[in-house]
Amino acid sequence: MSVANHPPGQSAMEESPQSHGAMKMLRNIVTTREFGILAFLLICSLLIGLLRPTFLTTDNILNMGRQMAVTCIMAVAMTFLITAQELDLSVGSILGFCSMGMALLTKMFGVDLWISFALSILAAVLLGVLNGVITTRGRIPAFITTLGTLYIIRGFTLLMSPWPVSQIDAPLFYDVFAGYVGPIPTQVLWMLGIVIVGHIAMTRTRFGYYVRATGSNKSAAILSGIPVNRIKVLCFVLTAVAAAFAGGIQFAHLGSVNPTAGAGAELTVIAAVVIGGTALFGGDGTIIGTFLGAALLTVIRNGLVQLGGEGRLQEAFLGAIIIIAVLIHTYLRRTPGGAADK
Amino acid sequence: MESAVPILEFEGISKRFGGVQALEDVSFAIPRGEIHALVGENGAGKSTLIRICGGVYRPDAGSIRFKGKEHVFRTVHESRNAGISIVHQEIPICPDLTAAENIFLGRALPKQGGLIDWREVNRRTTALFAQLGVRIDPRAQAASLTIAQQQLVVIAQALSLESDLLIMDEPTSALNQEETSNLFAILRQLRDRGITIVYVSHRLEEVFEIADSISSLRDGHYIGTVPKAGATPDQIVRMMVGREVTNLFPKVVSDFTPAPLLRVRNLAAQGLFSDVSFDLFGGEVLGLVGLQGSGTSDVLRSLFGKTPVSSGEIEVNGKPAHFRSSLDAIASGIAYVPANRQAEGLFSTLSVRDNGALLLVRRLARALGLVPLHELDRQMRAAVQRFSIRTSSISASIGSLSGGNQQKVVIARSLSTGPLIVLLDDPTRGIDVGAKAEIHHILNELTAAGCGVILVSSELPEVLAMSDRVITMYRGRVRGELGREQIDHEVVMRMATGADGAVGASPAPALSA
Repeated sequence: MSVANHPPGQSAMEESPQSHGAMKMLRNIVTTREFGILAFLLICSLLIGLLRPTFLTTDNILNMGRQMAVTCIMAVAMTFLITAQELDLSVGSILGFCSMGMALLTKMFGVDLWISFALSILAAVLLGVLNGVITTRGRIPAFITTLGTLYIIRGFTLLMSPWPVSQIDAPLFYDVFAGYVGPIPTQVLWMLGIVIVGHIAMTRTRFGYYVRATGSNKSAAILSGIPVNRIKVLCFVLTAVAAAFAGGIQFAHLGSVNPTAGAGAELTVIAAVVIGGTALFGGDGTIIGTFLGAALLTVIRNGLVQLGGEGRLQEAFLGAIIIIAVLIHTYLRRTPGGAADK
Repeated sequence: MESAVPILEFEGISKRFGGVQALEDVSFAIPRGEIHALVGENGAGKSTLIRICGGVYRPDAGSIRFKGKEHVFRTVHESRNAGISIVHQEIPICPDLTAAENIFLGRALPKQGGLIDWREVNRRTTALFAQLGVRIDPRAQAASLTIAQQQLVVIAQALSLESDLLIMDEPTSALNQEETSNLFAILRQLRDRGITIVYVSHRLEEVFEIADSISSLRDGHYIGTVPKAGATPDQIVRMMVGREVTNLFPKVVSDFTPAPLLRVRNLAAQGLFSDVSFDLFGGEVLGLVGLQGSGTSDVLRSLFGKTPVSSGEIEVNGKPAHFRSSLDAIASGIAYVPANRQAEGLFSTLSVRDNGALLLVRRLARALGLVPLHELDRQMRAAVQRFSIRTSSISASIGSLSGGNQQKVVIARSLSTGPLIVLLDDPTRGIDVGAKAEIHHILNELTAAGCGVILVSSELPEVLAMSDRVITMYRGRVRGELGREQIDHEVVMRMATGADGAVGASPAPALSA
């Protein structure tokens, strides 16, 4: 898929006429892995937009951007983890634990909310290290480790407080994480920033290279002197921190936090990653794809509401979308032309 | 009268894989009731011939007569039903099943009232083991058995099928001395019961111990059969090697550095090799020759910090070195190309550039770990030129390249760190002749630049032609060392197969300076 990274100008510079260069560029775009999911997203949006004119308004698009931010931020980090051939089922619990802990610190002990937020990020670092070390040192599948910590962390969260916490006074915090810059919700800006940083980190930093190499072939990575365990632990930390950060954003938006906050988020997050085209077997991850995957999930959800669909039908639809999206990716990967320059 | 008909006859068997003629017009017969050894170098066609017997491959031409009747084995089942059992080098066993379950795998099980009668299964298994004179619990999980015991499970399975012909492919490669002699006792006992055994090996010592007669293949051709009585190891080696070493390998001799780049003293790795000592000078290719399991690959892996060393010393450029990981070895100026490209060399989901430039990333990374992609691209394009890597672009998927070009990418990656010492484990395995020549050319370039190279190869002619010095290993120990002028195919083969000790011919040549 790195075809897209290839400066298109270079091929156009050669003796071939302009139209040829444009064709080639078009072909390059069409054969990138993200194209399938992008096309799918556009088709769905247009269809819903045709049926409900309110759907494709600036307001609703920005609204959907805000709705998807929490999932998307976690999914960006999860993309690194899955690319390194690991998985974290405990993100939802970490989100709940960290935002609950943050709110309680401020509410009960009067700690400044910013300091509580920083401490919740620190707690997430430790939880990520815990997940990572148990998985790599203990040589057990991350699925098991994080299935365990999913319950453990949620248990402690419920222990901290069985009731929601709300009414904390910190206007700046709310403005920064759930305010507006002009018409644009700050959640959308945070999300876009994280997506861009994530994309650069994945495609053009040493860390991104090592993550892809580790997930692609662990033995070869070790022989290349890559500290694969450290890389994996780092990815776990990244994912946990993203969950805590998303927790902060969610708290700012809702103005309260519930002990069950984030429950079930892990599945939506993983769904966004695989819909985006990241291989569940590792070695092949795309942040742009993840962004599109999270967007698709939101468009479907929001669109069904707008269409007045039966609420309970949403879940069934989302399930079908996951399977269809992965079928498309698998098909594109196999097709010659699409596959050759994966 | 029946015994006059050979149990197995090959007539004009030919088989081609792509551009490689694996077997050409092979015709010979294996008499009933003997242990018949089939010898030949790697790539001689032994495995192909066995797979044809086993119904895995179908010959392009020729026919097989089994017990005087012509057969075409289209599937493994047909061959097995006819009465041929094959024990492959990799033992096909389900580790989670019991010994008895493995033996009866895929076959009708005794039943009682519609349910499997496990007691009967275990009783029959015990009887089979008793026939072999071994005691293995039928209910033992296969994974808990030793390799030797697992092999006996497979042999018992062959017995239960009442096979007349048992073919064993390198059965002793994973066995120790005692297990080997136990196996031999069992094979003799089976032969005395009238079962014919084809024994494939290149360990001449063993062949001479067990076989009644010996047939040899070379480059896909049948060379001849001799009765063991009267044959000498020299004669067999000549039959295996035979050919003149042509100028396939354009060796250029370079000057050696006065001081060794690498000194290895009494190096040992638990259970793999011991007491390995040698020096590697700049400008030379040191060939490490040994059969599979002789420890040559393990020595390379230890020198690259991959296989833990249990004792001994390594010095790089006169300084003691301890490698805890490959990163340490790379930092000391060592490069390594693994033997198994798919498992340890390639990142199959990454592009040509990302595969080839991976080791450059560490050096080129700037603040925040940002990698200047244009610089990576530039270096990779240079590498594509230098190593004549044929690819549509550097951003193409590595999977779109041929095996030879993939290998050149792996080599380009290893050499991108500018190493002084280069360890190559079978760098030309499974690649075409053109790519081979290019890799040999790279070897010459390396020595001309003053690098020291250690070469392990599954192809003896290659390592002999490209090396300035050869060290032979047998069963984890150094067997001898030969200078360039002493390198001789037959001598090396005798040392690597352990035949030199068996015959007590010439003692290992003195260490050359």
